[in-house]
Amino acid sequence: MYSNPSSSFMPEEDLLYTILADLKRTVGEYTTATTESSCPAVRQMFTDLTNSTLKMQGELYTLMSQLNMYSTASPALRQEVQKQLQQSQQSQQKLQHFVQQKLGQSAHHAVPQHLVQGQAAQHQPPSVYM
Amino acid sequence: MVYDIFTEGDALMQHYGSQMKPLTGKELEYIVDCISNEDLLVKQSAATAASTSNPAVAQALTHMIHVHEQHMGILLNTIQQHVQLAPTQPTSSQS
Repeated sequence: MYSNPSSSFMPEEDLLYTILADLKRTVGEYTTATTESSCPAVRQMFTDLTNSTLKMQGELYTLMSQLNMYSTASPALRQEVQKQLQQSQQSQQKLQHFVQQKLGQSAHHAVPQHLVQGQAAQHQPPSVYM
Repeated sequence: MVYDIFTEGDALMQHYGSQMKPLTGKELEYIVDCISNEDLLVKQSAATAASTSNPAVAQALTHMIHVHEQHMGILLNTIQQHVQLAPTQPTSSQS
């Protein structure tokens, strides 16, 4: 015998990780299927199945995290976060100039002003983050 | 339960009934692939639930098995509802 009959063929942690990985893959496939659906009923079905599978993946991740079966990546350093923020803000400004050049000064911007100018709000940490 | 959208599958089909089109070959392949995914997830979840000694894990997996089975039912139901819409002869694709 290679193993004790009462033990599973893989550690529980590995089995759950495999399920989690397959849930992630399945969410991706449901998303792709949604974007490529032609029939409205089929698209709605794939949308619902995407959301349901995503919810399950999140619940399993939370459980594994609580059982110390999933180690999250270490947090990014503040210096790196600030650097990326600065670069992204510069990109956003360049983008705004580009759009203004293309649409003219009196352009009817589709993007609400509070989203364009609400950079202060972006500094707030999200209330829920996984 | 949380996944009450799936008890409304028939209502969904009624809602979109007037907009239902024949399945494209691609849609059919996606649905069949997704059934295969759900089948695998049920088997993995059941095998893991059978081997765990942790009640919380067993409970979570049992719930997941139930949801995956519902997903499979919805996918099968969708194919079934499109059988009558499917042409019996090859047709040229519409733009």
